[in-house]
Parts: sequence; structure tokens; C-alpha cells
Amino acid sequence: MVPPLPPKQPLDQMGNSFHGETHQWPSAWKAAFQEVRDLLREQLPGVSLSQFDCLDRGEWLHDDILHLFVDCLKRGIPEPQSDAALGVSPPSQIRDGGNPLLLDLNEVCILDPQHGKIIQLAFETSDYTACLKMLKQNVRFHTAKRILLPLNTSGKRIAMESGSHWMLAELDLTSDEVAIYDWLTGLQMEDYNNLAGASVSGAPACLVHVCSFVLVV
Amino acid sequence: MSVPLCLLSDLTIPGLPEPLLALLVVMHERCDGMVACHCPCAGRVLVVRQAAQLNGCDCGVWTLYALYWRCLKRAIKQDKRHLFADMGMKDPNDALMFRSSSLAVGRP
Repeated sequence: MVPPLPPKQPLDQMGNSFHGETHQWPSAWKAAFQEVRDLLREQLPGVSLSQFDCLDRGEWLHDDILHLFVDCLKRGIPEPQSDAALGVSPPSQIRDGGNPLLLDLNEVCILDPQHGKIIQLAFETSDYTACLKMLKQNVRFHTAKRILLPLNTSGKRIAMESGSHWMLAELDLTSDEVAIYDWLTGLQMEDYNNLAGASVSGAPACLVHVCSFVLVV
Repeated sequence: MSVPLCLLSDLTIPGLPEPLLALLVVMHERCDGMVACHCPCAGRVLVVRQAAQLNGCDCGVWTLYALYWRCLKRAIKQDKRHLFADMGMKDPNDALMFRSSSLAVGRP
């Protein structure tokens, strides 16, 4: 019989991290932990639990973790105390199994930082082929009202390689507005305008127009 | 890169939540009862920001948490300018509470 989990253990599950190595767990949970790590290594060779080390303070949050987080959100996020939240279930079971969800995935579309780069590239080259393909795969156009897009920025633009800052863009498809959430006050308002597209049709606002166009068509 | 997290669906360890799912719960608990808001607006671009970063790396965790917060069903009914208040931010030190170093349980 596996003992119950301690109340706050999520980061302690992260295999090669400092916490994973030092926390005094019951032996049964150490075995379970090893099982998770082995499974990740076998089925997700690109995802190492040690990647979660970047959640330590002073560490830069990697794209991979945001990507995993977005993937996690796309499951719909069951209510914390619900049965669905107790285990790892396929998205179809979480979304369609009558579980109480925190998210309405028909109303909000969540893109990840890699999508932001596709949008930026489309904006720079005026070739929206890949962008439209990506949107078709990720946006439920008949019902979506908002798109959330984490931005890995470098200076005043979405970074194509490694950026230096994270912020969040929220694109409102019903009002054509862009909201930028930033945790620093270093940029000027015109920088945000450039980034969001108020004055020079930056990438996120371009996305709004593309989506509006697709909606009309 | 697409990371098929759904491959984890065969995982049958009883009661083991996904790390990130559980992380949300912890973040939520830690953010209860705090307030702050600063929101300049310009045309159809709304900027919600706050000088709340203690080092050059916290912005990612803040973004991650804001993403979660704006995903919630209730988000569409809320004023975007109140994000910080809704998230419960009041102090730059709060940036650190998202980091695992401050979340460790039983750390020696």
C-alpha cells in the first residue's frame, strides 16, 4: 500500500533536482519516483526531470517548461480536489469525462512560445502559410474568443532564438485588443505598442487580424 | 518541438499528480490574500505591468502563473487591469515564492 502523499510535494518529484536527491521520502515513494523517471526517460527522451531544476530561484525558465505547462493546461485542468486531479489521465478523459474543469478550452486558446516564433516569422516574411496551419491545429475558431500567447522577447520583439525576457500576450478576438502582461517597468509604452502592433502591426496584433480573417472566411 | 505529455496517460501510480498540476495548487495557496495593481493603457493595447522582479529570471515564472490565471473560466469576466490584484501580488518578494527553493518541504 502506497502511503499518502505529503500535502506539498510537486517539486520534490523532480528527479535530479536538489530536492529530489535530498528529501527524506518513504521508500515506496522513492520507488514510485524512480518509476516516473524511468518512464520519462523511455517515452519522452527529450524531457528530463532535471529540466525542472530551472524552477529554482535565480534560474532562467526554459522554453521546455513553459511548453510542458501549456501542454498541461490544454488538458483542461481539473479542479484541484476532484477525482480527475488525483492521477494522470488522458486529456480526453479529463475534458469529456464530466469532470469539473477550471478552463473552458472552447473559449480560450493557449499557444506556446514556439508558436510565438512562428507568428513572428510570418510577420517578418509576410508568409502566413505555416502560421495558418498552426492556427488551424490549435484554435477552435467557431468558439474561441481569446488567445493566450507567452512571449519570449529579446529587446522589443519576439525572440527567434533565446530571448531575455518573458511576458504574456492576451489577444481578444472579439474586440481586436491586445493585452500585454509584463513584470518589469523597463519598456516604454511605444515599445509595447510596437510589440503588440498598435502602431506598426507587430506580431501579436497581426495574429488577431489573421484570426479575424479566418473567422470571416 | 511538441512534447507529447499525453504519453504519460498510462501512468498508474496511485495518487501521483502531475508535477505541474500540483504546482498550480501550491502557487494558488501561496498567493492567497495579496494585492497590487499598476496598469497603464494605450489605445487598443493594454499593458499590465509591475516592477516586481527581483532578479533577471523571475519573469518566466510570473508569466507561467499569469498564463494559468488568465486561462481560468472566470478570466473573461474579469477586468484585465486587475490581474495583479487577482493573482494576489503585493510585493516584489512574492516573485521568489514561485521558485522551488522556497517551496521545498523537509529540505535539510
